[in-house]
Amino acid sequence: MIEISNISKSYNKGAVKAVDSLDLKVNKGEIFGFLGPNGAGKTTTIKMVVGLLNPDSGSIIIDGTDIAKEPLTAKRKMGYVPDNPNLYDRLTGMEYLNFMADVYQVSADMRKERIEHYLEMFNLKGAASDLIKSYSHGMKQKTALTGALIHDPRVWILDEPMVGLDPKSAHLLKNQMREHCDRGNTVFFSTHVLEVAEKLCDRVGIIHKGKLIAIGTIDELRHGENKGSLENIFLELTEQ
Amino acid sequence: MKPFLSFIKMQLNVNYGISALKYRFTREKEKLWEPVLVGVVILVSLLPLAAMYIGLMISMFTAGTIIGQPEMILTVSFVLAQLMILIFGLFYIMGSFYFSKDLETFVPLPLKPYEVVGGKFAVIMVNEYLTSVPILLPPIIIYGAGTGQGIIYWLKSLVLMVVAPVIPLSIAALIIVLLMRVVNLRRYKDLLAIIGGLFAITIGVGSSLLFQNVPENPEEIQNFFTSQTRIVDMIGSRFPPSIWATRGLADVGIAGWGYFLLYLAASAVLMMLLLWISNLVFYKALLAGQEVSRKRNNISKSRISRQIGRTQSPVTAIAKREWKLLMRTPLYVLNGLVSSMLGPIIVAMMLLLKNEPELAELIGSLSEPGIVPYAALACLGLMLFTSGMNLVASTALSREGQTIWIAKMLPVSAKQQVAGKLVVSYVISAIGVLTTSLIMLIFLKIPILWTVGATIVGLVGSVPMASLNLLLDVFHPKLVWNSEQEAMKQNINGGIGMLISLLVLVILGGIAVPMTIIEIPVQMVFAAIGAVAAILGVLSILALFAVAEKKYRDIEA
Ligand SMILES: Nc1ncnc2c1ncn2[C@@H]1O[C@H](COP(=O)(O)OP(=O)(O)OP(=O)(O)O)[C@@H](O)[C@H]1O
Ligand SMILES: [Mg+2]
Repeated sequence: MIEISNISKSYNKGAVKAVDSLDLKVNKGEIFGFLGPNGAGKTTTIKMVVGLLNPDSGSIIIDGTDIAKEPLTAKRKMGYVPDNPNLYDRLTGMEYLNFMADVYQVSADMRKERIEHYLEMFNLKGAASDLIKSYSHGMKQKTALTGALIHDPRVWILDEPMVGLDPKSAHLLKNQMREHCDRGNTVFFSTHVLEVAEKLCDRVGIIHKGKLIAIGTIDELRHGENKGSLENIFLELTEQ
Repeated sequence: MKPFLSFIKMQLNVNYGISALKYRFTREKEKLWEPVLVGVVILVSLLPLAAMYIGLMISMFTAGTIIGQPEMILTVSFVLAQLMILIFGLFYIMGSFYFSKDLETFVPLPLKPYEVVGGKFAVIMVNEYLTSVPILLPPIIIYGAGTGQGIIYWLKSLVLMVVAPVIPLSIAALIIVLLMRVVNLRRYKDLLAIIGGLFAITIGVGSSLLFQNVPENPEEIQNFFTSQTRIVDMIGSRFPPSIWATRGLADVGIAGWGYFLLYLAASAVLMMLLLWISNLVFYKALLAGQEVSRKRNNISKSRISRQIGRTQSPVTAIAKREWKLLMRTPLYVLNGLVSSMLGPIIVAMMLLLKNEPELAELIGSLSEPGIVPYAALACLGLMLFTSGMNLVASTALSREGQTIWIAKMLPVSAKQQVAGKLVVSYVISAIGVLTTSLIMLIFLKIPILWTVGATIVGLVGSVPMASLNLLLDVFHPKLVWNSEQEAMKQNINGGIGMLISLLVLVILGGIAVPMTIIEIPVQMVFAAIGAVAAILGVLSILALFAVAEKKYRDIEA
């Protein structure tokens, strides 16, 4: 579903190499967890995958569509939520969701169903007609999630989605991610919470200093020379 | 003292982007010529104003010498500088002390309130030099050179220029800090933005009306000032510090030094007073909260589903979003809608207020058959000018700021996104054009057919203006900003956009003037302007779309 071939990205005209020849494939029906220390290049990779950053080299294919060649088609296939979503402060939550539904050309019936579903699930109904300005961090995050999922994209790409969500919302989101993948779709997300990765992900990738240093199911990662919890593996791999 | 000094240093650094600049030119290896070019353009465009001011000061100095009070120009310039600093200071201080985003970071730091206030004060003070130095420097040089002063004068005047902002700025800060202690103005942020804007407009209109009363040739100016010395004295006595500064510079010996030190002491005392009082009350007002009103009553299911709209086209959705964001931000309304209607409204007010018979006669003659076409042509000029002077198009992409990632994610082509923006910018310009048409009809009594003709050509002519302004912003958006103020008013694209609009106006005028001179019927002139504007409009829209397709890809969020 997501094919990342040999992408690199540097900032400051080559001074900082944030992502270095990264190859990665995320399959259909898979929840893929993207791990790595701070500054490893997770956000940079994700932003390239969704088209917010232009890679210096390499290519990215989403569900058969090359993001550089047919960006609009590729964007219709995915829903993205950044780690710290800045939304339009002076729109209400509902206006924002209607706007997103319009630009994704979601029919009136579908949008009604999905907006009601997510507002109910995230307990946002009461706030929907307030300005986004008045929302808490978590409320903004949930509004951004709803807006990103309103067109029922096949590929979800989430940058640290659990940060800022209360336990109940996080739990419900995890369930949604599972259900989504069981229907043959894909979720690609970054996280620092290793327990979540361990329990939820079909496969994980660990990125360190811009390079992918490990990839596979949790069991596969355990098998090599490393034994023990994902935490130990993570600490060992990212030591240097 | 150490943390205080490093806080001040940090504030200056952040506000003037010193590290950011260093980073930009050493690490990111950006081209240096861009900011330099912008600086040169600004300087050059200010030259005429500076020349006028210097001329005025020289005549005042000559007039002062005749009546034996050459130092009058020092008093006047200090009064002027301090008044300006006081007025601007009120707004700067309000914004920086109470509305700025960084406050949330400072409050938890182990800094005393007076240290935070002091740091922010230092930044504003540096800002104020932009106002005070241009006002003070010419008179100080004119007086010093004109009366052949020695080294002490120059040293003293250097010191006075450095401390000049302290007194008025401390007074402004004291007013604001004490006011905020009594009423929590933070709740009325939007209202304040409107009041501030209207105030600025009033000052602008007022000072231009005032300038109309200043006589034109040098001799008359001198007579004017000689007859006004009493006024200068009077104004000076209301602002004693400006007299102290004057005496401190102009008097020799003990008296001179006495006044000079008095001025410095007054500055120091006021500054201390400010720091002391802020230490007592600053955080109390700051922490009194800044809330956004909200209803948050649980809304019934049916209301939710009623709010869920039907499907609209992406361009409509984008235009609607632009419109809402524009109209819900007072600062944008002020600089967009209000300023686009302002030109014609000022004309109307001046017509109403100036109750002179000659003017009535003039207006009467406008509706004479022979004059009407030319009057209509002039009104067309006003229309195009008005429609070109708003900042909506030239900051349309910049205003997206940190939300630009949404635009990048939308499955909507860049062409459609800018089309949505163009519609909204154009509507604002069109409102300006239509206001002018109303004035033509009601106050100038231009026949309806001519008014309609001018309006149509005006509406066509607004197309290239709006699309070129938008093109400019798409080409070079300012996406990093901390306040809406920075996005719209402190955005260089606004100024350049106005120049572009003027250029369009000059091109269209360049067609009209020669045609009128060789007495081609005015109807034909209108048709020619309309045709050229239409061609320009189509070309600039095509260029806009092409540039947008490329630039939207290049923007990284
Ligand atoms: N806008 C930028 N300009 C310059 N360098 C940047 C920029 N954004 C990121 N970097 C650099 O790129 C590298 C990777 O950053 P990235 O944000 O992708 O890390 P991350 O893995 O998401 O970290 P975190 O876990 O903290 O979110 C870091 O070295 C960072 O300093
Ligand atoms: Mg990150």
